[in-house]
Amino acid sequence: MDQELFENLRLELRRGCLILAVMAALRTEQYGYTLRKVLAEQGLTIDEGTLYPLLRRLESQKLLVSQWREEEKRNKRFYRLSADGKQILKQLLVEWQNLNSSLNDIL
Amino acid sequence: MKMLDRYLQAVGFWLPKAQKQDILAELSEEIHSQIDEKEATSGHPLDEAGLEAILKHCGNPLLVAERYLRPQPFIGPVLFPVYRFVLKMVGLGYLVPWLLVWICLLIFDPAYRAANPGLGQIANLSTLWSIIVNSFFFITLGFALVERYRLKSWLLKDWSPRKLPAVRDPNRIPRSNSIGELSFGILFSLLWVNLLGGRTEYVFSSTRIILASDWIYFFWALLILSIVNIGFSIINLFRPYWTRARATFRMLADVLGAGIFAWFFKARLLAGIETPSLAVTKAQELTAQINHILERIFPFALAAAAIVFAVDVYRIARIGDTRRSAG
Repeated sequence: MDQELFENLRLELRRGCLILAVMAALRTEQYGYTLRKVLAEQGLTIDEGTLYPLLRRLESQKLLVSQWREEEKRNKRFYRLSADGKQILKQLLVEWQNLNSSLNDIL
Repeated sequence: MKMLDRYLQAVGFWLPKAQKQDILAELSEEIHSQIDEKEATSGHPLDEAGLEAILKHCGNPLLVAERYLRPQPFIGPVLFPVYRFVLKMVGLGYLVPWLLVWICLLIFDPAYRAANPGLGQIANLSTLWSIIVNSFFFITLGFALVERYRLKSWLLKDWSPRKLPAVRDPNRIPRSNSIGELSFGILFSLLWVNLLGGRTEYVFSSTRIILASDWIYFFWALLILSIVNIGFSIINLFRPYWTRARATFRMLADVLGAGIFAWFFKARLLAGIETPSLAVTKAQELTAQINHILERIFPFALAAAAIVFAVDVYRIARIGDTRRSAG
């Protein structure tokens, strides 16, 4: 039960951070697989079942734009941050820094 | 890569139609990238066990699909696609035929109209309404209980990519269907000709059945339709793919068949029955009764014909869609 509770809280904590990380990583255009690699290299593993629905949701909120393009003889969907996304990311980063500094003080 | 195609088909089954192709294309690309990486690392092509491991890591097709769906309040996201599927099946398999039969009775059965005059006809819809409410309530309750007692984890715990159903091409006509239809068509035609043989009087032991002279038209029409269907089954057997022309022909044959049977039910083709154990008046009553029963079947037959027609039209539209996506 404790393990399950911890897992739920961990997922909640990760959720918001992942959105921020994905948006930040998409300041440079990427397709899903390379985006996962970039995040994993920074220690943020995200499975495909979480990443792709998140990308679609952010795109439907007009924070990302995507384009299907052929690369290495395969069709791939490339994502990047939209103009609105850049604006929101800026605000979110300020919020994150404030939160982080408050948390550091509390802890 | 058959296992991958089967996996994508299984995920796609639960996805909304509008987003299905897009989601599957992206998921397929992700899995291909993982395969490429594994092959580059190992230096040899990925075997089936390797692909199975990747698919297992991606997750149960139902769980993968549910992550793309909007969270729903009452039924959790894992069960929601199954819940929606069950509701759809109940609607299509029971409620729509019910409504069709009611409409056909209302339009084509004077006895039904007479028995339910004025608003009484609309009042009969309350039965349908109560069926809808009850079905919805009990299905929702069932799924809510599964959700509440976490039975879903038990339902989803064992899955293997190897056990996923084979990829189904909706435009492919299964050979077993064609063989079945062909055998039935030949058998039916032989029996039809040998037993009934275009006559209007038949004697079975001591009972004589007399049919109206119009019976001959029905006899020949059904025989011709059966022969046409035999030809159709032979073509389907050797060229087992639906084309738009063939699907249109199938629809025309079904419309023709429905027309022949509609006429059969309404034409009062039974002229008389003679049997030593039955008095003449009783035999006449029985004849009238049988003709009446056949007439009462007419609206149900019409509802069945409407469903077959809808399936035929859907098939033609689907072939058009497949062509457009291929283009």
